[in-house]
Amino acid sequence: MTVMLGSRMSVAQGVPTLRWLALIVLLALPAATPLGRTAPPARAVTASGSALAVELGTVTVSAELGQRFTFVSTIRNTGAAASTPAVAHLDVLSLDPDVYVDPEDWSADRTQYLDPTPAGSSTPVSWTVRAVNSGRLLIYVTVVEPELRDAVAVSAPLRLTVAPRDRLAGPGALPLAVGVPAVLLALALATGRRRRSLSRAGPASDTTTG
Amino acid sequence: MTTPTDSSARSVAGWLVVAERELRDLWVGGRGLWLLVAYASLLSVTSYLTATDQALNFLEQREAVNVTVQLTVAVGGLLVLLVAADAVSGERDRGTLETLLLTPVSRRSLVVGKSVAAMSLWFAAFGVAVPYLAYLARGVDLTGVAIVVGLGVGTLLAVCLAGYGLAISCRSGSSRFSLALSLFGLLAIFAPTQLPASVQRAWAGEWLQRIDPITAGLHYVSEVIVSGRPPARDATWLIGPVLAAVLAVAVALAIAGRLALRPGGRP
Repeated sequence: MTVMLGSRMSVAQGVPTLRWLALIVLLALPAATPLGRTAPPARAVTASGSALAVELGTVTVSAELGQRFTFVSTIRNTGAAASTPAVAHLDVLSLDPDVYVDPEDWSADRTQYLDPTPAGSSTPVSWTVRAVNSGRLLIYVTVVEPELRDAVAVSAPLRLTVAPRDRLAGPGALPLAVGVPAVLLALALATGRRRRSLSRAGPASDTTTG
Repeated sequence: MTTPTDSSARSVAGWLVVAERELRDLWVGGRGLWLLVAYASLLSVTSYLTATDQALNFLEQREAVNVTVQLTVAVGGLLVLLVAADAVSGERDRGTLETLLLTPVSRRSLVVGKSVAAMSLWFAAFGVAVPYLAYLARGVDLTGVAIVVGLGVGTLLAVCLAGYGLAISCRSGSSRFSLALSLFGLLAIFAPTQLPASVQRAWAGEWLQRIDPITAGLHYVSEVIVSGRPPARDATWLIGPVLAAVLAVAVALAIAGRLALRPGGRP
């Protein structure tokens, strides 16, 4: 029992030390082990298996409907070896669910084929688009290395605001649609009436034939 | 004895007289105006539906202008063809061709005068289309381009169709046959526009489109209006329409020189 008491007294004396030690280990654990994912670079996302990162030189653009503009994306090789041949692709989407965006209308050249990028270097890729939809839109670039499975790098989005033009459906649509045929109809009726009155007047005064 | 100067002066005066008569018959007689009423109604429906589409994006506005120009060219050309196809064969049907051939007007002057009346329909149709084009194109700054390109290409195609219709009319025994053959030919010329896109992109398909004056002309109009390309860049597409217009006029004048009371008879 004495031994037991002694043991208990020994254990009892060591408990505060053990508690402090446990506390220190628990506090140090998150810093020592990667419990959260490292946040990616602000403008580039590197896919697993690929050393390529895509960055856009421009973050926001304001344009008018119909305006053409050019921006540059930089494909950077962050790895220690040259990349494999890659394919860069441009896409456009609208933040308004009521706006239908057809990327083919924005640019006919949305895919570019890239040579291998040496380690540590970068390749600029230029894109020219025409703003054919108004509103708030996002443009982003993806890069795929076909020889690497599941390797897709995507850029941060370019935030685009396109100002609309005046809509066609102003007050002039209906008057135009009704007015032009009405004027021609009135002319046709007037001409017919004149021709009939001339016919009634006699053949000598009828100068029209057919 | 008439001098060459007297003959040419009479010839010039002759076609003017015929043209004035035909124009009066077409416009004062009322036929032309009723055709324009129907044509303007068609333009009104398509333009109004296009203009009231709230979701129209920028490219579709350009396409709306392009569709209106192409509709103008197509229907205007059809009107020209209808009048030209009836020009001589109609006189045969009505029994007035003999009287016409007895006048001191050369056969070629006769046909030229009738072609002037046919072409007047094209210019009138385009004039009717101008307000629609101006309204649709104002949002995309295309009014001037649409009018110039539409007038230029449309006039080339109208000349081609007028020559074609007159040639058939001179050789046809009846107006019915002349109209049927003319419309069949028009459908055949329009057929390449219905080819699948993959066929149109192949080298044979592209050459077929370039040779066909209608497809070549409409392709050029699309490239300038929808794609926004400079007019000179795709000017090679106009070679087909120009050659077709020249050929049609030459054939029509050659056939007109041998115009007889009955088709195939001695002039």
